[in-house]
Amino acid sequence: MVDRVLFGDLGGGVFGCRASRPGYDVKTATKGQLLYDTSAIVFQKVLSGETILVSGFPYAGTYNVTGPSLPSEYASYSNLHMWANLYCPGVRAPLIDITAQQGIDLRYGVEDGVVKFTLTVASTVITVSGDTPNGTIKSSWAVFNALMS
Amino acid sequence: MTNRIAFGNVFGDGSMYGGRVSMPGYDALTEPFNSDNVPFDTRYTMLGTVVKAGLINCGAGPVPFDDLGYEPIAAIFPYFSGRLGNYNVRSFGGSVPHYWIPAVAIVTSSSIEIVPFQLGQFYNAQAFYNPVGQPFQFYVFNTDGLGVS
Repeated sequence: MVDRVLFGDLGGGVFGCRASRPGYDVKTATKGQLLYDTSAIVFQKVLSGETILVSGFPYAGTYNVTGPSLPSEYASYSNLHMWANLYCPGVRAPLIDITAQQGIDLRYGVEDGVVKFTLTVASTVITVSGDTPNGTIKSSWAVFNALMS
Repeated sequence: MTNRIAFGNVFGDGSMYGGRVSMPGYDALTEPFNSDNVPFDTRYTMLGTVVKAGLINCGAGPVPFDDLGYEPIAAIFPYFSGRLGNYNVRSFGGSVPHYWIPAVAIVTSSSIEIVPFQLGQFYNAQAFYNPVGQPFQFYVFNTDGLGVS
C-alpha cells in the first residue's frame, strides 16, 4: 500500500495538502498523478440554474435577459467564472446542429453580482435536425468561484 | 451534527485508508461511494481541479503549464469584454451573420494554444473569418477523462 495523503510540510518550505490518485505514492507523485493539491485551482460552485431566454417562436433579434442575483456573500467576488449552454427542451439534437444559414449566439457573464445573458437569433425560423423548436430556448448555467493562477 | 471530514482508517475497519469530505448536512462516514454529497474521496481518480487557466489570444503561441504526463482535457470560450460566448452556428455564406468562431485548441501534456481552424487543403475557415487575435478564456483540467488509476 502506498501513502496517499500528505498534510503539513510538503517539502521545499511549502505547506499544504496533497492527495495522490489511487496507485501513486503522494510523496513522489508528479502533478499529473495528484488527485488534489492545495496549489491547484478548485472550482467552487456558487450558483447554478436554468433560465428561459426566449419563450415561444424565436423571432430574429437580440434578447437581453437578466438571471438571478448571486448570494450576497459572493456578489463582490472578483474571481467568478460562468459557463452556460443553450438547449431547446424536447428537441432531439442540441443547438449546435442548427442548419446552415440560421444562426444563434449566446454571450453571458456575471455583472454587478447578477447573472446576465445576451441571445442573438439571426434567423426567424430555427430548425434543428429537422425539428422546428417553436417552444422555449433555455440556458443551463453555473457560476464558479475560482482564483486563477 | 454530522461527520464531515474523515482521514486515515476512514471506516475504522481497515477497508479504506485515505480521506473523505462530505457536503454540509451529510455524513462522510455513511454516504455511499460516488455519492453526489461527497465532493472529495481519495478513491476517485479525478476531482476536476484546474491546473492552468487564463486568457490567450488566437495565434499567440502556446501557453505552458507543468507537464502532466498525458494530454489533459481543456475547454475554451471566446471572450468578449467580460463575457464569455457560445458560438453554435454553421453559417458559411449568405447574409446571416457568422457567430461561429473558427478556432481550436491544441493541447499537449505541457501546453495549450489556440489556432485558426483549418481542415486539410479543402477547408480553410480563415477564408471567411480570421480568428487570429480573438481572446479566449481557457481552462486545463487535471484529468485525461479516461481515469488514471
